[in-house]
Amino acid sequence: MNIANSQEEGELRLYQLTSHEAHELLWKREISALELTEAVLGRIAQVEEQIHAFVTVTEDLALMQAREADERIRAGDASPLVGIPTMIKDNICTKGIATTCSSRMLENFVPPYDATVMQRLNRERAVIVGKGNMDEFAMGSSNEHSAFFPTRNPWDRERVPGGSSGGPAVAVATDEVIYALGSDTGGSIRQPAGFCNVVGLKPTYGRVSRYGLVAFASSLDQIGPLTKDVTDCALVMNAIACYDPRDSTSVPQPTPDYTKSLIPELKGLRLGIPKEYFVRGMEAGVEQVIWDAIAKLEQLGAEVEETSLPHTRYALAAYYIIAPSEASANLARYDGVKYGFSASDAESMWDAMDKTRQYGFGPEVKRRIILGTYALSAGYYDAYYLKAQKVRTLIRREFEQAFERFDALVTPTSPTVPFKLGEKVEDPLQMYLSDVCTLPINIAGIPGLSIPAGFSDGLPVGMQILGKPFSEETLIRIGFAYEQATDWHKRRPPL
Amino acid sequence: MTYETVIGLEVHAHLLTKSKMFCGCSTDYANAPPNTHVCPICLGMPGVLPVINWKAMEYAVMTALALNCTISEFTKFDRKNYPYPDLMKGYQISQYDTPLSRNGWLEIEVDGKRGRINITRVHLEEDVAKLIHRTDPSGESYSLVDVNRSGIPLLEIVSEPDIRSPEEARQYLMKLRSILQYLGVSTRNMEEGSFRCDANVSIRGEDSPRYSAKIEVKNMNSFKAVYRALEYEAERQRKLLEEGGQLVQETRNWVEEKGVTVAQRSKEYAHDYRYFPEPDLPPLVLSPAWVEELSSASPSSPMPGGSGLWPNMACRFTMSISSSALKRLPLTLKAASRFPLQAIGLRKGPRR
Repeated sequence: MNIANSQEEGELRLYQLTSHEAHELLWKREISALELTEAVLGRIAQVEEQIHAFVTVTEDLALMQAREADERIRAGDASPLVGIPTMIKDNICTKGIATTCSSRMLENFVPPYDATVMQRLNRERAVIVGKGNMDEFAMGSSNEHSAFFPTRNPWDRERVPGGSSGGPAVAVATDEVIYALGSDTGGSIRQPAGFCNVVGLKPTYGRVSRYGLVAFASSLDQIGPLTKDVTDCALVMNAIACYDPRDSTSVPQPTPDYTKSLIPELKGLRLGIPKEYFVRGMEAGVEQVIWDAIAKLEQLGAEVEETSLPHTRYALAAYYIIAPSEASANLARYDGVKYGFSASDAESMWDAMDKTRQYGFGPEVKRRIILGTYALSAGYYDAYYLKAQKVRTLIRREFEQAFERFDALVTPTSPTVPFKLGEKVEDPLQMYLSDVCTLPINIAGIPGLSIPAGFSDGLPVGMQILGKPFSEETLIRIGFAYEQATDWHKRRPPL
Repeated sequence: MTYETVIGLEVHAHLLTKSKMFCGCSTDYANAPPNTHVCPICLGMPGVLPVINWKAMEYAVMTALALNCTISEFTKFDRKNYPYPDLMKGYQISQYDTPLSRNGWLEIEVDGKRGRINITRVHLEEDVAKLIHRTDPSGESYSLVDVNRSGIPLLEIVSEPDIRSPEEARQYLMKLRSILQYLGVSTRNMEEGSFRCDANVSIRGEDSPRYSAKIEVKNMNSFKAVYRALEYEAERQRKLLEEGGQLVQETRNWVEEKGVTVAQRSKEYAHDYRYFPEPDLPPLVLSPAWVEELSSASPSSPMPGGSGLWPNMACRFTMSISSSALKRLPLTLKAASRFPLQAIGLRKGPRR
């Protein structure tokens, strides 16, 4: 490997490394965690102004953690993530570091506790470089709903990076960090991963602890990795997946070693292609990329067959009842009494609570709180929330049946390439439709992996691979085999 | 005209667990400075999650058995949504349509006559923080919040409207309190706010087929206060009807010093609680074996000094759990959990 910190063309620079490459060099003492962290911080200084991926850069902390990591490596610590710089989405609580959810409401909120995933990363001596921009409280698909600034897509800065984990996806795509943690409630890891040409995994509901993840929709939220390749995805999953007694929805199932699934062949694997995911309004270029990718999977030994999941069409409607309903309760705690933003120009207690929420929340958050409050209201509960839960059961059953015949399903991650900033922000329904291929997966609680599958008009296209609950190993195997046979994931935006 | 008084009581009792309902904070806050028994969970901070204190579940089931209730095969927690500064999360974790037990009874004796008061349900929830209202020397009023009480396990015991007099109400409460004390699940008293009681009161003329509107009476802080408030309220309603007035459903506060009930401002009770299943806590299957274990672990001798005071501890839980039981799950319950076979089950949490 030809490594340099210089600006010469054609040479691999430190910040361009994947986690597994960096780990190898750290372990061989060819580089130090401090050098790697400095390279990453230099890269941030170089490109951040053009893309705005970070809400907070924790430079001093990162340098301190890098020095500690170097000591640990010298003492023989071979943890795969030791000394590797990472970004954390700003809805994952980080002790002593502002956790804003890209909202005015939590602009100055510094949690006195770490999320479980942070405890696990800290134990591995990861280097925390900063917190990633997102749609406010993870509500959105473009990062335009960040209360601070929109993150730009590095492939075309007039376009959105996707959301809500737009900051993390862009930071990984532009080599500002080596990997990142995001969260996914309806596609918030996978859609931006697809839009930015990186790997993103939404694990099975209950696989990764939600403790410390600021809740949007509790029955749908899940933390997962955004990485430069599938090998890194496996490594990060090894670090963050666990049963956590602090999260009652976390499942007491042993965590496998996901790197054992990095097998570059697919012989005997049965893949289903659900036709409902090739939706009306899908771009021809995207469809072409996905069919080419499917042909490649077939070449690699997989048996491919078209299938049908007829209830898919109801997933979006069910999602936009369930997610806002849960959100309406989850966001009730932001009343200005205990922490976060508090309106100071109020005349009474009720007025203070009203004004705090009026000024503290952005329009999309308010829209969803109102939608959810309405859906749960007396007289409407049965027609909306209860009905949506029944639809949810049907969708889950349909997936269960599909996975009796198939090891995995393959779909596009999104029906389009990244859209232009401002194109959908005034039209919530159009915005919601950009998650039409990713929402059903959260509804069913199953895992979904998005990997780079090619380009349409010079913009990245993601392929989504779905499996039954706790089949992340199968998804990683398919993703890895595809990645070994292609080099889409190695393409980097021109920055 | 003579009137019949109809009373239903709703009792809230703190359970004597060592820690709170959904976090590890100590419940022993009686003499503690404000906001010293708190953590991110009972403060309702962003991103934290509740974990059921299984000891509270045990105490609740023991009490329900002592009150001759049927223990539910499936139970779950729900979110009760309403904004108020004493409610840290903006919702209270409570139980709505699947309480952990239903259909019990308690026998009381008034004037040598024995009678049963039926019990609608016994369920678990969490207490809220305490608001302390102050006025500073300049006359400006403000409120302070003490979060120590937030998250203390609270047992709610709801009676049917079977109580016919303030004296019956007092007997019912005394009997109920002694059962809780005898089981060792709750010992504190009403004055400390650890055993609280709200009442629903209506009256009916002897020749009238219909009851008057149900009036909820709150803020009664002793057995004596309950007796006086009920007596006052029944008399107030009688007078109002006789004067040709109309009773409308409302919530009234008992004002101890004045010996009267006063209507609450409408904003304080006009709520649509928008209950829905708590997504952070999977539904629970209460296995008969576990219930039986609790039944036999409870005190086996009759309560001292009581005639017929010992409630029937025989386990009325007859349904058996089999693989088919999961199939019989109501669709709503199934829907509330993501993967029924994994999420539903007797996955006991910490007993603390």
